[in-house]
Amino acid sequence: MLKIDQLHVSYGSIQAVRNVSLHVDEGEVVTLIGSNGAGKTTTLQAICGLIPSKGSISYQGEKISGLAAHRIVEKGIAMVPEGRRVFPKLSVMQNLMMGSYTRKASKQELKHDLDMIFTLFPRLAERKEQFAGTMSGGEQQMLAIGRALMAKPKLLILDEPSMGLAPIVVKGIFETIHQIKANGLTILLIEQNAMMALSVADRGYGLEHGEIVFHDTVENLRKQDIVKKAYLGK
Amino acid sequence: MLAQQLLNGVALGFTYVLIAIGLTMIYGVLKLLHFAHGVIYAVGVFAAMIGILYLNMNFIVACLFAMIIAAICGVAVERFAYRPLRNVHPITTLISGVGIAIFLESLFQVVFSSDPRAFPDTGMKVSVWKISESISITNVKLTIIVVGLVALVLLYAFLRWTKMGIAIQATAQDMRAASLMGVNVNRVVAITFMIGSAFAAIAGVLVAYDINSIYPTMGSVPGLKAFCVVVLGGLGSIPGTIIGGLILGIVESLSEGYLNGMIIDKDAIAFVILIIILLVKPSGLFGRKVEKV
Repeated sequence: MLKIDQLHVSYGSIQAVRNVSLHVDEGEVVTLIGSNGAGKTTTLQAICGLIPSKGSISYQGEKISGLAAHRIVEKGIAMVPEGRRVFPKLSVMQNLMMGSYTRKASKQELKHDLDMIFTLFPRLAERKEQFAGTMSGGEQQMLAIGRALMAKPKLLILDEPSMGLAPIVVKGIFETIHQIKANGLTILLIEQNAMMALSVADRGYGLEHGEIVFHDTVENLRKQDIVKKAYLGK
Repeated sequence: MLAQQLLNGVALGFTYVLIAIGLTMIYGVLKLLHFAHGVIYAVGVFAAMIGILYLNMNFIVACLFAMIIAAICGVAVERFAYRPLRNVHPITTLISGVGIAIFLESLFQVVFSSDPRAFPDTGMKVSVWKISESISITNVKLTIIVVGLVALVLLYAFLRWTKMGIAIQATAQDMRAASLMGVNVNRVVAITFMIGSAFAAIAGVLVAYDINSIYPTMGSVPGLKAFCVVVLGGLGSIPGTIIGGLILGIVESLSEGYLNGMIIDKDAIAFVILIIILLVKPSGLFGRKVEKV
């Protein structure tokens, strides 16, 4: 569904991402793990058209590298950005409606999808009219995910959904990701928290210093020493 | 006398509000100080003049024509003077804006000469409406207030309830996140410039009609005052801009009424306010805390 081939991104003379190739098949949950500064977010921003990159990125067989961010969203890729990035001075409801910005859906369809999101996150239903900026980090993360789901994406990209959240909240967020997966959505999950990421993913890639250092199915990754030592703390 | 001056001040204030709304919205979306905004106001006035003199428009059609021409001009300024400079140091766009203002003002001087001229005859008569013994208002000033109110209500409804309006707010709050929602940020910017420029144009036409004078540099002082209004209200804050504009209008009007022969000119008051605000509360009345750079 998504195929990245030999992606290079540099900031000035610094190469942030080198020769990254990865693919995500339909219905899969793929995780990209790595520590701070490994190039995870850079890779994502390149996919979403936020920064220029070299190499090829294709989605459903169509080349998307070089397209503007909003054109890529229109094709059915929704992103939950790092740090949540909800619109602080818009209400929860308006944030969700922004998620459906590119859709030409009828009122009933939108209502149906909103109901689905409110079932997934009952907390958001209670806070419909509240400014997003006044909510807790966990609630904002729920909103960011709900907002992305309102786009009815074919591919959902999550950038560090666990960042800055208490462990109990992280657990809740990952339970939701499990539910979304069960609904059949294709997910690319970027995480530092490898333990959580591997709990939901089918396959995983490891990124270090801008390069892919390992790639395998989750069962196999769990057995690998390097993954155990570096990421799972065993 | 006081009530009369207050009423005049409100009318004057609404002209500042109409000019400054564009500045504050543009700052909100692009974090850009649009120094060519004053000249867009003059563009509106000259467009209305041409419409009335050469295209046989009546006053209302000429106002709409002025708004459309100014909107096109505003979008062109953004497209050609600001967008190529979007990722460079902000001072560069500032210079670019000043350059555009100088260029257009000089162009108007070449084409229309620098002599002030009277507002063309529209067939409308200025009438005075007496509210009470001591308070009266001309129909032109009343029109300014009504147009200002209508414009603000329309703007509020647009920003609050339409998809594009919400997208403009979202872009102002987080441009990157907005583009990840599928918002075409360039279109949002263009629409912001259109609205701001149209508002400036209608203000310009009404002021020119009110003072019965048109000249090429007529936008520069109102443009600078609009900056003071925006700083007073808090950069990027629309409610702040409305309050700031009305405050400036009222203060100017009161000083004209009560402080005749003062050391400072009426037109200087805005800048005195600007200096005081920058000293005392740089974020303005309604602004977010300014981040130190």
